[in-house]
Amino acid sequence: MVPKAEISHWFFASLFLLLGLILLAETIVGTEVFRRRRWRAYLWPSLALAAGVLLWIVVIFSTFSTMHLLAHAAWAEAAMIAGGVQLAVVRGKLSSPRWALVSALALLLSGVSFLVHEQNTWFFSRAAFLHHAIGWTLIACVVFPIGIAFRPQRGIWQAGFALTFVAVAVLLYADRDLAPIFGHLSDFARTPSR
Amino acid sequence: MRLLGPLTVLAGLVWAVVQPYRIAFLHPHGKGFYDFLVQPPLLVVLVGVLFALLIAPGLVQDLERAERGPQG
Repeated sequence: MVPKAEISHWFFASLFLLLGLILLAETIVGTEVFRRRRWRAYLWPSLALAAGVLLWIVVIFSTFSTMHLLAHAAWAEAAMIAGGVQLAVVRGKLSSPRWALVSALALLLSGVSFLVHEQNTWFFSRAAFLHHAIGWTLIACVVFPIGIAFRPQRGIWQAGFALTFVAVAVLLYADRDLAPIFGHLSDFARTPSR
Repeated sequence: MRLLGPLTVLAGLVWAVVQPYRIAFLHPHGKGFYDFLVQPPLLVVLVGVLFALLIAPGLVQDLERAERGPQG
């Protein structure tokens, strides 16, 4: 009883939306106020780690395609490494803001994985379009954690990083396993659903 | 910051009104277990509610304390 791909995409969209809201809240109130309660500081690394663990479960179900299996494994590793490093930052084991570069690498790896594992063109179907859109969004948004690493005091980088997750969540929510995109659906695809 | 949760809930509700067929409870014909478990507009509402109830109140409290300063 394996769920359809779109089901897991919507589930992860919810996780990313929550992550985006948490990061946005931290940006608005400031890191000092946000970390007044210790558990709040652990929210973002914990959610990233949890997303990584859950992605490994998706990997288990992705045996229908080597490309999908490798892509989901890459996202799982990226999420866990980024979450683990942030956990060390929150614990005080790592102190340099340059560790945000790990998040930048994770976004880059995730974006490239989206683009590489999508074999079809942009307008093949909605899923294909969204894979391209998410891939390029993640690659473009690498600039935000790089900004945090080198100019951590500027809120724009943190806001951009938070909104990256909100944007990816919106795109993932729009995903359907089989549906047209702007009226386009390849003849090679099957009957579209709503 | 107070508005983040309610705005997310509102977004989910608007989505549910615009695309009611995305809610399996309203269109149960031919839907399976996972369709009832994961319904996108309701998930958005759930995320907004979780944020508004579990995270925002404490943050607002801490922000007000910080604005009042150490004497407050």
